[in-house]
Amino acid sequence: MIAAAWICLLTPLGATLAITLAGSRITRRGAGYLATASVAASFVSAVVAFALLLGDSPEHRSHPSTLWSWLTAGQLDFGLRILVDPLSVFMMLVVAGVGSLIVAYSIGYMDGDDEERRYFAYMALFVFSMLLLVQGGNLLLLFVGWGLVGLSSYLLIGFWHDRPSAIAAAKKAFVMNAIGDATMALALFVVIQRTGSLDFETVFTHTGALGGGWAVNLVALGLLGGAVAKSAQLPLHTWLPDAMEGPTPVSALIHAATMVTAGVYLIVRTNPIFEAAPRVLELAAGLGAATLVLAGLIALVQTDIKRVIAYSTMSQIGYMFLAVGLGAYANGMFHLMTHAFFKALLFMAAGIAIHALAGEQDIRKMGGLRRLMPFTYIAFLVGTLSLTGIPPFSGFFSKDSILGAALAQGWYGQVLWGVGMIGTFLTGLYAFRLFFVVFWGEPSGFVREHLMTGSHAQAREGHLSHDGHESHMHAGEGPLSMTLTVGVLTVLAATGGLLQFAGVWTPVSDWLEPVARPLVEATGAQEAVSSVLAVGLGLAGIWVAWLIYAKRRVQAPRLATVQALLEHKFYFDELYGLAFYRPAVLLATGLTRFVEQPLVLGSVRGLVRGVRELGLGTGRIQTGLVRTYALSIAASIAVVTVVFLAVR
Amino acid sequence: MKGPDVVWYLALAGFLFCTGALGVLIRRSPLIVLLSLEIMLNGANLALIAFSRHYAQGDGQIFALTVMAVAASEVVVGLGLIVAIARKNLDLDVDKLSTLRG
Amino acid sequence: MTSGWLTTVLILFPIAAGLLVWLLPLRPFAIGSTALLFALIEVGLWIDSVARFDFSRPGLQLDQRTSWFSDLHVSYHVGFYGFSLWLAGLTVVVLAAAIGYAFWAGRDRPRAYYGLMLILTGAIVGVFVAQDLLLFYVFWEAMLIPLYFLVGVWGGAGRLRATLLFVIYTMAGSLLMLASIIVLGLSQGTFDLVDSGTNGSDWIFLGFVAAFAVKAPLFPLHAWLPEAYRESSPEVAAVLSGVVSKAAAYGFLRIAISKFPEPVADFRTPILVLAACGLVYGSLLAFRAPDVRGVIAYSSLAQMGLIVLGLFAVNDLGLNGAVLQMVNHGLISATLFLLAGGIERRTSTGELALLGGMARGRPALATMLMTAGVIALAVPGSAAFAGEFAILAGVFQTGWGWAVVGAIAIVLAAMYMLRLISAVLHQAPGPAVSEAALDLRPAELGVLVPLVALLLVLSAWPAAITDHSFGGSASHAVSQVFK
Repeated sequence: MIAAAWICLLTPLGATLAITLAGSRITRRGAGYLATASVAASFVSAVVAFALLLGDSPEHRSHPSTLWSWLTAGQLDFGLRILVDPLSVFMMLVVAGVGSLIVAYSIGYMDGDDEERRYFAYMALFVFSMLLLVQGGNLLLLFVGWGLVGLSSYLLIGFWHDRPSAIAAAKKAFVMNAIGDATMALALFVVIQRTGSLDFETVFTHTGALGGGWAVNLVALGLLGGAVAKSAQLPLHTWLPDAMEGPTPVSALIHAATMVTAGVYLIVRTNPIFEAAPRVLELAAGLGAATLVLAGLIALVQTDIKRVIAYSTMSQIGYMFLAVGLGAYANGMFHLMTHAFFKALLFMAAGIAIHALAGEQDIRKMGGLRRLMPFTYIAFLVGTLSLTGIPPFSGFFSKDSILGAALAQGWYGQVLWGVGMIGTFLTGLYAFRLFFVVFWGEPSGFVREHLMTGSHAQAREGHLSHDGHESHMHAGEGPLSMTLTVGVLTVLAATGGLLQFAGVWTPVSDWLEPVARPLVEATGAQEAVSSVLAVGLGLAGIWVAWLIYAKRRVQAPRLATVQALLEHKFYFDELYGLAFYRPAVLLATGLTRFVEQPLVLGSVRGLVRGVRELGLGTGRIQTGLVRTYALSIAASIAVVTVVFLAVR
Repeated sequence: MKGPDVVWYLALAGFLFCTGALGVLIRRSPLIVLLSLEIMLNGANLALIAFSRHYAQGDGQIFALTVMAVAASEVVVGLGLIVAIARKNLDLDVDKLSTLRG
Repeated sequence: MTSGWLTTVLILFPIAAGLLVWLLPLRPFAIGSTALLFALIEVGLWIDSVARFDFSRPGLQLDQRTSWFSDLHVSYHVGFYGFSLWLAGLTVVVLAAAIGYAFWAGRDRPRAYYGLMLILTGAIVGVFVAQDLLLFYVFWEAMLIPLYFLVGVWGGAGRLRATLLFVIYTMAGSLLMLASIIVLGLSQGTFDLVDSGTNGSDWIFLGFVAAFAVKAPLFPLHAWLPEAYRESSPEVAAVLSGVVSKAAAYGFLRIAISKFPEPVADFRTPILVLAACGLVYGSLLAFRAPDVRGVIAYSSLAQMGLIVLGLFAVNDLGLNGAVLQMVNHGLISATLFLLAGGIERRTSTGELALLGGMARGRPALATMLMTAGVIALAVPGSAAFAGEFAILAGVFQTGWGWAVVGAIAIVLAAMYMLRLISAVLHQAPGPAVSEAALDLRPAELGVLVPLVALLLVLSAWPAAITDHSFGGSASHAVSQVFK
């Protein structure tokens, strides 16, 4: 089991190194196959680990393993240590499973890009980092994985590095995440100071040593800061929509299925710390609720297909934060899993459409794809229904159990339950707005030009200048590597939810029970009420979307201020620019101009002048006449002689 | 111990030294300056030998011999310099030879 | 284990090799390859001394002692501690890389150049192994002489001014240190670093601090830094920021902190404030620096601030982290300066505004700069991260405010490094970047790959240094004055 876990972790790293070192000795296609094979091998190892872990009794399903001491200092010893337990195996299965599908999809999607090898090296690096994050057996290794996923995310967002917007988005994502990393590092410092270790078991059994008061709250806040940054929750969410500059499979893997849900994993993993700081846990739930509504609202006005899905990702992670913040850990993790399925599906289906339309992402230019791309249409429909939480698709089972749990958690939970219900309506509305606009109606001129003229080569040439990268395209709905993986995900998104049906059968909750004992259990009635209401509101959202965007019977209400507010994403970017970036630039420029130049370098100029003048002054004594020197020598000797005689 | 008292020798040595020093200070010709230097050295030598005799130890005489050797070499360098200056058609005047000043 | 001769050989071999290279009338190519060969032999000697070193034991090893002035108790006394062994290793590796780079790039008057580089190697190794205050001072000053010529003769257009600044600044600090050494040695009755005990004098302490703070440099004594790093040839800049600055950090650790426990307690807060200021200030200036070398230079200032922060935390985490970070930063800044040299050769400018788009078609350059850059910004999992993490965790125990400043600097480091990477590699090709600008050549890779590989090895196993520096607890070793 331990060996399987190490194999699972290290195979993708091996693929990264192999592709990097091989350089052009490996074909582009070969790099794709190698990366896919390595991630698939990871998945197989994860399955093996899972099967072996099933053999243990539930109380004994925790197996740490240390390879070597990574960092030491006196008594402190932070090992290269992984932990195989139900939670990490759950995440390994999700990450490696969805990951292998998406990397396989990339073979078709990235075909023809002239830096394909680099892409697959990065993808494998990402999978390694993500596995390190979920397998890390102490907070330090978790943090290392945490930082490395940020790095691979940076590399992949900025993959098309001659686009200024992609580079800006990549830098923004990295810096935002660095802020979260910094708060997390501070939390770890407190933990080290108080418990002298970072191993999960030691820290969790010593949460008392963290001190009941400020210390544990500080630790929890620091961890929450990291979680919020990584999972794009308020207030550190602004990087995620921009991150859509990366290739679509990257958005599917990193910015939907795996990395952005790391915050949820972190809270579940460190739940003993958070439970010792209940206020912070409630804050997490509140931030999740606020994000889910805010993101839902912004999604209503976005016109870029990937950005709409990105905002829906933020919104869905908001649900997960809501769940784990209220102590319904298994519900959150379950939603994490189903979300990984249906959101990856949505992105990849969108990717097929984008691919077919020569890289166009603006939904206003799309329309009527239903008849032209029937397979994509079905896949997207399943994803959208699942996202909205319509039974029997997977989102229904996971999202409604979150809402049920919220209803059971006192007045605070009930308030958040209400917010979640609003979110359900919004989800139905924005998801089906996207769906109807893209797939229904008559094909737009743009779509006709690309899909109905029959000659792709012609279209491709015409639009190369428009976007040099995503324009490499294939006939119809793409090669087998793309359609097959999307097909698998469609099945998973449709049926994955049946894994757990709250109140009836609960294998996920039982599996995670030893790691994260839930703080809240919903009663059957609460589940039923939530489900009925949520489905009703979701359907209402769909109906409204149908009226406005499919039948076009109702005009969408136009309110200039609201429109502007939403289109500017509540002015967060502008606010941060004004509050942090510009002051930093001003401070740096000011320091250069007013401190470095005049004071530090100026002091040098003063010093040099002083030395030179001193030198010139003494230089005047030097007449160059031997006689003067001789006289001074003689005079000095005379003086010394007199002094010697006199002093005696 | 025969001969005059050591004081007389020292007085003569002092006189020679001062004469030399005065010559170094007031004469302009480098040749005379060198000559005066030799007189100073000889004054010092006389003092050394006088003390050597006074204390009946050989050290002073050895020092005097060393000084003579050094003086001889120094004259070689000095005269060489003077010849070099003369060859460059510069004034043989120590007041005008002030390039050391930089 | 009496292999003390090996330590002496480590000092004398490069000096002798340097003189030999200088005197032998060979053709430039032969000189370069001979010098490189000698540098590699020196690396081999160092590896041999690692093999002979017993890391489980604290205290001086591979030591050799011969009386010099017996009445003043001055002796030729050399030997290694764990951490000085790593720093000596850093020296020989970076100097070998620098000589290799110079060999590839080609320098005028090669005999003198390589001779001076090799002599410099011996002098710096001497600083790290000297266990006698006067000997330490001799090597400390001996280090300056080759650097004076290397910057002043082979530097860029403004080299004379840069040299003048560098020499005046360091001499001023060194003289204060000399005074301190004399007073300390006379008051202790011995100049031996191992024999002498602690001292409580603030003034002597400050004399040492002055010398080390200038050489490091510590904010605000860094005025010589930007010009020296910009004007010298890339490999000399690599040595200056990679190795010479570490001699100062070593001095802080070996002398200032271990010999003066009370003054350290008195002056800890002011020094920590200066270090923290340097950290933030350097990061901010690096963020606005207009050229490649400016970014690296100011980031060096920030990194030295960080290292001093760790040293003056005076606990296990801080000290171990500082030693690790010294090695890391030495390798990183050497790599970055050599890369900057490669970029400047290709575009004949270092202005960020004129660069850009170099990633396309130059995979080796992009990979090396990206790898070195992300390690430099201390992405978690890298060796630099391990060092920074330990330093900040250590200084956190002194006061949480220091760690908060450090955390801000982490974010700033991400900002300036990403700016550098993007400005060189990404977006449309800059005006100075022509199609003819080639990718890194195999010879350059031969110099750079070992440095980056070492960084990657350290990333996988930072405990190689943290666990093998003090033979046990670092703070214990310091409080026992490294007996």
